[in-house]
Amino acid sequence: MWYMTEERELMRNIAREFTEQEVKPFIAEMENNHTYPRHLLKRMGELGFQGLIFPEEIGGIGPDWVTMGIVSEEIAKESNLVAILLMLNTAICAETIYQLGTPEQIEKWVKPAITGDVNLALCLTEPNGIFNFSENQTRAVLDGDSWVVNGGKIFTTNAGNADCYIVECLTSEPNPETMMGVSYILIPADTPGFEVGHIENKLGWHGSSTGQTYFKNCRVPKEYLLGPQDTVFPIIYTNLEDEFIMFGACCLGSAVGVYEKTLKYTRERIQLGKSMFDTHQSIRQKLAQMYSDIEAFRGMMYMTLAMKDKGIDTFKQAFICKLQGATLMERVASECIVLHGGNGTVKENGIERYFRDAKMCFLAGGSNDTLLDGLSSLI
Amino acid sequence: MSKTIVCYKWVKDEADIKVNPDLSVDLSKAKGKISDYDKNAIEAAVQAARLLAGKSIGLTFGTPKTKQSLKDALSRGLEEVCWINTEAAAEADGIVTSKALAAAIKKMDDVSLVICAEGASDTYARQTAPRLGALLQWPVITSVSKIQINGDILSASRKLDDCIETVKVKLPAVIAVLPEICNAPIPGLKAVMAAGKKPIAEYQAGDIGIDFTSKSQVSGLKAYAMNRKNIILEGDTSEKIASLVAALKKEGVL
Repeated sequence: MWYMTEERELMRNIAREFTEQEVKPFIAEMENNHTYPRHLLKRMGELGFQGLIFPEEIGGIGPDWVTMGIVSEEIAKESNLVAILLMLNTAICAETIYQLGTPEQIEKWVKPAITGDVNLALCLTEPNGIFNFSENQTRAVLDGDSWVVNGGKIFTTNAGNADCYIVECLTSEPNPETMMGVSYILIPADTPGFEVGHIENKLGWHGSSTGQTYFKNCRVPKEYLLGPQDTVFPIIYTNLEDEFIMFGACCLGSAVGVYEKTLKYTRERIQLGKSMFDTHQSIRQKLAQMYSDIEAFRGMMYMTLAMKDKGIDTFKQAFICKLQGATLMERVASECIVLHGGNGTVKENGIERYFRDAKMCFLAGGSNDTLLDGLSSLI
Repeated sequence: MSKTIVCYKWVKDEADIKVNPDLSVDLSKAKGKISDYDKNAIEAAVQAARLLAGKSIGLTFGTPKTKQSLKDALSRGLEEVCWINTEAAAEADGIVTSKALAAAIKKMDDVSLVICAEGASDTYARQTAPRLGALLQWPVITSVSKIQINGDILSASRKLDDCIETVKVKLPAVIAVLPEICNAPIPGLKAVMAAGKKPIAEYQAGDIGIDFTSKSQVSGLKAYAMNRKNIILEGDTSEKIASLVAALKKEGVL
């Protein structure tokens, strides 16, 4: 591959070793008991994965978005969720604090997030949605030297497992025209009045803790305002760019993972003295089509990551990465279940999980339909 | 400064090896990797070098493709690597491999300890350490599961079939370690970046000065097919034993 170097090959191998030795043995625990993989987040910090998109001065080893893509792809081959949690902690949360935060906020939250000692969460969604912020109920009021936050969020990923929550709040009368009125407030998990509510039992991503978060007179110092007051909403929108791109890398990895397992299965399953792969032209064609789709998307994915490394605007490409990635993963996972026959539907065989996780990628972090709407405004 | 040498082998990744229905083996798509057992040996060398207040050096004998292993080995904590680079390594048997490694070790000063894995993950021939010891005329300890170093005395626990044997030798020595000697930690990405700055010594065939002609040759390679009979023996223990003996006789095993 044009984007591979000797160093990146080694880093990919390290991600592969980590996935084989530490992620894979924990998948059944996450799937069956919905156990949050906190120790894996810590290990990804120790191994340097969480520092890939951050510069050396704050403890990172980057920024190197291509390698971040390579590592995420490798992990997602086995566990889409663990790759998604890596993305959440780094490309979404820590990156937001790094881009908007004061030196003190970066010291307190980003540096320990890079080492895996701190987990972060982003609280955006309310029952009315994400983007119609003027109807949001979560508000922060400045009272002397403190912000007092009241309200609640839903679908907060890492709920109950984060050390600090980045909470989108209304801090003045919202104006949908000018997109004014929204701010980010940092709320540490031990803030009095902060509560975690119901954790959802979801179709996929078993092991992630996605649930409700409540803020009842949560009082934090005024220095906990993250970024500019009242004008953060346009920034939220542009910050989604990193999230959408990394969603694409996670989807690519999972599509490759389920495809490779299925290719192996069809080659090893012998019927009447020949493998399924050798016997049936239709099976070979399906696998060739999957390979073709995967490699076409790989080109798009790593071109976008390389553009990011070069500082080229990737806003439109980010939408396409998530749209195409989730669509690819869903289609490949669905075909792979069929090629496994009845075995594909058995949970213990680990094939149907890719399909359930694909649905999560399709909907989480901005559904594909919402993204198409967003993209339509850019074309 | 004392040197601890660890010999490692670049092997085909067994996960990429395809077995055809006729049991022929397709290695064409298999990528390379450091033999899994050698990763434990490398970590053992890093730890031993620390105890000896010296330096840990990786040593490998391989074809030009083995170049891919050098930074990998260095990222696992070694301070230097030495690579005997020759196409002849592809056909080398145990004695040629040992002669090449011994010749490279003789070029180094102050070697206190040579560590090999008990066997490589491709052939598991277990020849390198004993042959190296004979060529260097140093004591050899195989099947080592634990070591202690006190001055120039190395004490090793040997895991044998029916007991643990403790052996002491005066260094320099050659030891063959089992995987349980220590865990092989996964290196961090920072270690990969640091590996690029560490020294690599390369020898060509002519620098080694040995005859690379192997006396043994591989005439064929076939996969092993395990066809289970799935026979469940019923009854109490004595009945099961009688059934087992009868079944083995029927199969011609006894």
